Amino acid sequence: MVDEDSVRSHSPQPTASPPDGVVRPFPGGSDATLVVALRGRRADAADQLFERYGDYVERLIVRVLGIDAEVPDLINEVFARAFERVDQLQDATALKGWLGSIAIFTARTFLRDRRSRRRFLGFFAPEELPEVPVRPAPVECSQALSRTYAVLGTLTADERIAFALRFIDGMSLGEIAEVMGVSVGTVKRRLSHGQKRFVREAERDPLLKELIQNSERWGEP
Amino acid sequence: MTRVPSFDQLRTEQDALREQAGFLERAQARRGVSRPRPQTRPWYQTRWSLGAALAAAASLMLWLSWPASSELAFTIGDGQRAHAGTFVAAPADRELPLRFADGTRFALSAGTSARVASLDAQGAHLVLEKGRAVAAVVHRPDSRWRVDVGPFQVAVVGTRFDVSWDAATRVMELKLEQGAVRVSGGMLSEALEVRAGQRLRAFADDARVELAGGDEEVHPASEPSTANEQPETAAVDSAHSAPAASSAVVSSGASTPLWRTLAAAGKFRDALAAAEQAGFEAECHRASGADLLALADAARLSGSAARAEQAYTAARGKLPGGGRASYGLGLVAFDQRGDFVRAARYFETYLREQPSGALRAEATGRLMEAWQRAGRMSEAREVAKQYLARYPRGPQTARAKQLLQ
Repeated sequence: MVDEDSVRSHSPQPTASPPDGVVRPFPGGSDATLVVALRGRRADAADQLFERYGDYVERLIVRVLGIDAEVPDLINEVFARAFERVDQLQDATALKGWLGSIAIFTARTFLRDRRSRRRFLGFFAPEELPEVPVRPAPVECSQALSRTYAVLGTLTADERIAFALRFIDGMSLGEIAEVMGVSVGTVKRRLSHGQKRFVREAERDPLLKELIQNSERWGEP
Repeated sequence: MTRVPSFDQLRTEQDALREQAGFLERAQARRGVSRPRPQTRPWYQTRWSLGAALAAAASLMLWLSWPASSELAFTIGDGQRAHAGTFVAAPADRELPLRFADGTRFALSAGTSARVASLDAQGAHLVLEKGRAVAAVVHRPDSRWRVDVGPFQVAVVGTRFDVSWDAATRVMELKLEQGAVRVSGGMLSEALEVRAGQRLRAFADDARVELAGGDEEVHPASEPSTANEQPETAAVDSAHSAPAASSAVVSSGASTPLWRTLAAAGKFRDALAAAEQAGFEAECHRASGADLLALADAARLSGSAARAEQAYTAARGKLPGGGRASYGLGLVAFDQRGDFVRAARYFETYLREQPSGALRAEATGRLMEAWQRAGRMSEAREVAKQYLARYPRGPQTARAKQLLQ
């Protein structure tokens, strides 16, 4: 009989044998199977969860925050919350959307914390400065990206999330509603407010003004 | 005229940046690293109860401490065993050694702080947070070591080097004693190889690197131009060779634009991209004539005729007699534009402006060929006569003889 705790496989090489030679590969397959394994606190299930949805969680957090030094820690926070709350997940087939909603919740909490701290301290703490400088890229593109996130910093956390997921990520209204845990109507309202604020700021910036004009989805909701 | 992107293009750009940043890899590296994210606000601002906060911290610790694969053991100082995630700070008055099971050793200078972010059977991932480390990495076929220094990553196979990070000025200094390392991250879109005897200074905040080659330090090319002229073949060859200590160096004392360093290292596309990012027009105003020739060569060799012409033209205005800029413009017209009459005019200009230029034989041969391709056979034959008289053993002798038959 193999003890559950001794069964290990490690991402990103799930087929590699651990040193003790005890291998019982995770049975892969559906999200529902994965959820069962997570509820059983299987070690390889945690790795599988990360491997399967790490990129998705990272993408959502980066869309909301931009390129930020805190992203790796926030990714781990998302998975830690998911791991802790997996027993509360009612529909095991909705794992991806549920993880997305945790990612958005984590990003929103972080944004609000950061805003409070800025209000409190009045300046950027060094650890908030992005670690990743701009790579050589078309100048207009990198400038537009950084200016867009500067303007997003003036929106409320909810407006910013809706705006980033809709216009930068290109998600549908339904998908945004799912990960934000609100109705489509609420998403539309947040987008509308966010767009108004964005336009107000962009009026002073010709690059952003043209960016809006170039974007097909602008004005849809 | 600027090209304003759409939100879709911003997404593409952001995806490239997040891939480059390696957030997922870092998140994975921090699993097994028992260092929860620092509290981002004062405790009294939190909305969570203490119990809830402790529960969240416990779940994060559980997630982070999930077991890692077999890994190199290492000790700190006088033999204290440590594990992945250990934060190490050398005392203010003495060095602190880290010794790994494969014989690799990192000596942290006094006051240095670092973290062993992760370990595996092939090596370790260290983060130098502040100060200086002298490393002696034992070479093994499968070894894989990485040192993060600010925004830069130093990939190591086996070597001896000295690296420091000044967190205040955000400058990395790297000195290679043996072997080679590859430095990436920061403003570098491709890894830059640093070899034994070279010293690299990388400035995280102003997109600039300085690479100096040990005893063979080379100062920036100075005007006037004739002393700096290089045969065409030498410029092309550099695209295929790794930067050697004596050829891919710039002054360690002067401030050198990133594109100059990349061009010297034969990374022409990167050099052009870096110049674009710095503002191509502004660089054409700012750079010396010799540097502009290097920029123009990089643009030409990476296929950008318009940028090459722009930089050669700017160089012409800064170099005595135009330097070899007219010759470069001739190459662009000939090779990239297919405008042979225009090319011939440029080669003629070069021959007129540079009576003792190092590229006269090449320019005369190209002039002959340009007239021939333009269908101007009388001009081509006239140049062929001159070519055979001056360069009877030149590479275009056969063409010249054929034209005169």
